[in-house]
Amino acid sequence: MLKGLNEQQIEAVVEQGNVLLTACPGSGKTRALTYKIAYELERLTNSKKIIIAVTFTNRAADEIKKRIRNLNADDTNLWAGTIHSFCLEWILRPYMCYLDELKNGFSISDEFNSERLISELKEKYGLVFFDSVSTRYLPNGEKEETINRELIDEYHEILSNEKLVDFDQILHYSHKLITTYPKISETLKNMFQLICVDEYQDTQLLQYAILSQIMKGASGSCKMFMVGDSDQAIYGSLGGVAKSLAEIEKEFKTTFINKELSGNYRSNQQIIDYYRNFQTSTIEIKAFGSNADESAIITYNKTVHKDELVEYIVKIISDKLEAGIPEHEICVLAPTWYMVIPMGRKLKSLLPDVKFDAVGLSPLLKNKENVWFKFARLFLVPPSPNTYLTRKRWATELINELKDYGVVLFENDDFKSKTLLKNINSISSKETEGLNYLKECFLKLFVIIEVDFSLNEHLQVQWDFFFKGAEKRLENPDFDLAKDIESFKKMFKHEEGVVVNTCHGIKGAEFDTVIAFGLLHGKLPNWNESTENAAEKLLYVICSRAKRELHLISETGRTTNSGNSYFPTRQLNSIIYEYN
Amino acid sequence: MYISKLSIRNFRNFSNASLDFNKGVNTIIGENGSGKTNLFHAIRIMIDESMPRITKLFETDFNRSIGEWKGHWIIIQLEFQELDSSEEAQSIAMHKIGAADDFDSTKGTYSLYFRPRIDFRRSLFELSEDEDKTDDELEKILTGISLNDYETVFAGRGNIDFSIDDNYLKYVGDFESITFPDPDEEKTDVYGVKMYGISIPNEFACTFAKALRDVESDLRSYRDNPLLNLLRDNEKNISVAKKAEIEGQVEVLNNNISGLDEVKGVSTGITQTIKEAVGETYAPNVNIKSELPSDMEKLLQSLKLWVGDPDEEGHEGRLWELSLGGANLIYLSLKLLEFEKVKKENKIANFILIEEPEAHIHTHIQKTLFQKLDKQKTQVFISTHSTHISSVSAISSMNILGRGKQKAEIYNPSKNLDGGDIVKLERYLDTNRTNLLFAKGVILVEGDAEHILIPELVKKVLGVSLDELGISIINIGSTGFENVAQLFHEERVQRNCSILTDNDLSIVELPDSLIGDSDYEKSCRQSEISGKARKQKLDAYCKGNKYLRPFYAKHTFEVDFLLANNSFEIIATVNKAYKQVADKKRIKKLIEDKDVAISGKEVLRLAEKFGKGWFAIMVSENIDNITIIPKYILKAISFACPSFNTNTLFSIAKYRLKKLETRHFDGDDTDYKKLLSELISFDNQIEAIEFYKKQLPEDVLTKLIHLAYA
Repeated sequence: MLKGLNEQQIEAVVEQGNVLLTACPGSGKTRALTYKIAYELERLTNSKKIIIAVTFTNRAADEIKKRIRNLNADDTNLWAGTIHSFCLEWILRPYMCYLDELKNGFSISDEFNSERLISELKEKYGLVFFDSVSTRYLPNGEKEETINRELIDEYHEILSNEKLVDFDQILHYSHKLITTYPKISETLKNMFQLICVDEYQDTQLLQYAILSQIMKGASGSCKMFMVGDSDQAIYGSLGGVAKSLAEIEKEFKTTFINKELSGNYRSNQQIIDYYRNFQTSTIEIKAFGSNADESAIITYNKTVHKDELVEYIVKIISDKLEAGIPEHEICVLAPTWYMVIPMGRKLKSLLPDVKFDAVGLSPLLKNKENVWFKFARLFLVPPSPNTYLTRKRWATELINELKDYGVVLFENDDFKSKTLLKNINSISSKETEGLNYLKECFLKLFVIIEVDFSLNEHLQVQWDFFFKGAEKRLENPDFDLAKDIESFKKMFKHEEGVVVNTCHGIKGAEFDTVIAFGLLHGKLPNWNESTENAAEKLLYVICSRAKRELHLISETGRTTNSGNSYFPTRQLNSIIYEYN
Repeated sequence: MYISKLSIRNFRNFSNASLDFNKGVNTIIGENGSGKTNLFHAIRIMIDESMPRITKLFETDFNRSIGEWKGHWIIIQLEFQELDSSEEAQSIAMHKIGAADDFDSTKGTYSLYFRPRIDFRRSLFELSEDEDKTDDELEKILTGISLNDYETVFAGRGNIDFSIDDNYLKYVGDFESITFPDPDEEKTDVYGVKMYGISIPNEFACTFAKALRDVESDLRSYRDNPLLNLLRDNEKNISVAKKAEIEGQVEVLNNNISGLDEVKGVSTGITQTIKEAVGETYAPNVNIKSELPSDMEKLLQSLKLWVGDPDEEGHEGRLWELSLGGANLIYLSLKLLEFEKVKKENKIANFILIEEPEAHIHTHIQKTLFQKLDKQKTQVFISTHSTHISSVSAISSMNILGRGKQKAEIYNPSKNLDGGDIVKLERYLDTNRTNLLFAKGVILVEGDAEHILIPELVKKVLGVSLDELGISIINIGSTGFENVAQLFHEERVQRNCSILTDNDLSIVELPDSLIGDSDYEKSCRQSEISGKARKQKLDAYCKGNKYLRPFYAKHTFEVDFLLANNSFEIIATVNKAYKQVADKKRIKKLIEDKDVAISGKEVLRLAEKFGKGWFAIMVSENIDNITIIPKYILKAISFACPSFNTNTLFSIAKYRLKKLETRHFDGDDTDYKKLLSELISFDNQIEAIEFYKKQLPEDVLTKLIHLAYA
């Protein structure tokens, strides 16, 4: 089953100890991870043991599950999800009765609700929009925020009065539980065969602490498999820390075997040599792909004015398409949503015949953990043979979640998820505005399934979060969002085409040609980015996406709110390189 | 890990019950209809994966003693002990059900709640917060609840035993005072954490052997065929090393059969006929092929168990040739082996529930069947109504079910007894039958005489046996009352127990001073002193225990029997025993003497002479309906008898009148015949008995009724 892996990958997969796998861009990191999981699933001797895959996003978890199924491995004993889902499912929900803060029940305060609370409090405390306050906790149980401590205390009080728990508290309470009751670690360690951590370089201190606490369990044979690339640690502003091997061993109090994937199957050597300018580690990267010896095109434009930027990019795209490069092999990038979204819209209007996979901002996306978001996606993703398995899984997850809230659907039905989908597919609305459309569909659905959700605290609270959050985003002139239902549906449609996204959004992806703009100090790195080498790491990530061509742009004419001009990112500008 | 406790609230005939279990074999003893099957059902809902995945309960599942079920909860709780998180399979149990009070302990609870959905519980709570709440408003909410408004919730880590009334009132609700808890306060530390994902029954191996079953068909059916299961490995595959070889052989065999000339002949014949019928153009080609299955799994289904009888060497037969008991034995053994071999690693624990094994397996085999069990991993529950099986199982792992009004009563005969006492009691019960555990009431006596005479007295005088009255009379011999009587207690067997003994007051009047006592007086005085001490001790022992009461013969049993005006019976006995007329006359005179010092001494002499037991047998032959039951015995009977039902009283009344009609005291001119016809002419038995009491105020039955209802 290890066919198709290179020697380094095989070595990492078959290693039976704790593994720290440092993988350079394009080295088949996800592939190695997937094979490791499949390999261990195959070798499970105890059918009750579970393999955990902690991923950075829910989408990555879905991707892993999909790949495992494609390898024909039995995924019954695989659990994949984000660290927050992990804590909820394996620590908070089962052991909530031990914490006074949680024992009477809790709901999740989603990203939108927490942001709204914080921004209201900022106003109250006389802070401005871009003042940053941290809602994080430290492994010692203290709150990270020291300067605006009162604000954070009030924020936590509001949450606790409403029996809400935010994402950072999910981690905090989980950590508190497993450190107070060592038996929990022992129990979990005995249930797990392997814990895989993808993108370990973006793991927060508290997350390391939770995982290491589990591994300190008194008995059990669970092993760790951590994969990542410290050079690609781009979530420093969110608390991500790329720990070194020694630091990890110290934290976990056990030995790790360091494995490397140094062969790059993506880019030609010239591209690699270029982005190694931004590398903070010293790992050698060799191009192993069939394109290794091809020559690259690397340009850097710091003269184009922001008003001519779109035409400049349109020209590159048109040339590439003419040269026969498929649309989906081209990617347009910028550091922030504010820059990417208008760019996507303009490109579409100037290249009407070209397909784009441009992220728009969905008014819904901030509510991903919200139960109504989960209903919404079932209404917004149309049934088709391609989406069947995914929708069925969503439906199953939804039914289970509702059960946790005390809403049991289709009690005597053996095919609950199918029944739910059937009901959902039978519903339609003539409303043209997205939110009204969803509201009507939700209400119709609950009439059909004969549940009065207004009686359920969880559903009611989340309903308010969901619609208030979406309305507020729709009203925000900065976003300029389309309100019609067709645009809503498009958010969920993954059309193949020229990718237009942020630097963070293309993590893990690869393209023939990468066009990156907005490479300006203050945007990249962001003003309030305090992490060391943040700019280098982002540039490293951007450039390492490209197989063959790289077009970097630090456009002129952009000014700050106070009217000062932005300048090219220093770390890029200072590179001496013979550009094409 | 094992189930250490089962608590049931409002389920079927259990209003609130709590049973303690031990590692290894546990026995549940109860008469028919006491709820043994319901109890097993409750356990199986919790642990048997072969039960329907969705637990739906019905109106009829609510205990009837709660009256209106609406709003009430059905709760079934299991408590586990010796959970070990370092034991791999058990880590799941630890994760789901580990105790809530202190997670470092090795206890765990797992509960089922069948309760109204949250919106109804919320309305109940809102009502209870209302200052002007009324019963009518409560009624209004409750009548709006239907079974569809109920939910079934499984939870782990609960921390409250709902079989305790206070807990039920506090955490479910008090319907009397209309106080209900706030359902939005989830109180997971009390109710436990809702289970989702992992299903606990799937993690257990549970084998249920119902009372009447068809072992042969169980063994034959594919799904339950333990032989095939034994061949499967962890992935449920059957891997056979010579698989390819055998499959090849089957193919050859199939080809050989297909190639037989006879077979070919048939296929040619068919083809020929078709061609003749429809012509060459339309005729399909016909071929005959042998299709013995070549798939290993299907082939292995041909495996059958052959068994031989140990008494008949060399003979082996199919299972159905074996006795029912033998087949059952094999079935259970295979189930045990299946667990040991296949499931041990992956299952948390193994439970075997056997309903009434006396139906299939001989007592002696039952005794040895589970002795070699791996008690760490397997726990056995046996339900029985047999006294035989109970004498082989220890009382420490025994629960007794009793039939109460609309609800079952449960006794654990060893609760809070210390280990030494339990062992001694078990030895005692082992040799002395265990029917005292089943009786509705018990009379303890310490001599053969009482043991022989009292049942006879009751039978002859009242026309019913002690058994019919639900009373067991136990001769404890020289064991000492306290040792056995400790079983009857608030915490243990809640049944009335009369202790019958002698006060040993001297029959001769003793002077104040003991100086100058004759030898006889000396021994009388000695008996009197020790009798007094014994009474004091026994009275103190029984004090405060409402299930125990001592009853004393003033002197001794024989003397008190005589003094109850039964000289006639003794004299009749003497007349049969002695040949010489002179002896008969002499003894008669002594027995009839008014002075107890004389008559008492004589009756004791007789008892001594023939042996107390033998003398009692002799006397019993001369007892009839007008023999008087000494009052202290009558009192003991009335205390031990749980309740006299009208039917019994009526039949006693009938019996008495019928007998008195032909045999009554000299000079008694009551018209018993008339009384009898009047008695049976009543439509209502209660009235008939009232009539009897009024007509015959001095009769033994009337006295007994007065005692019983005093």
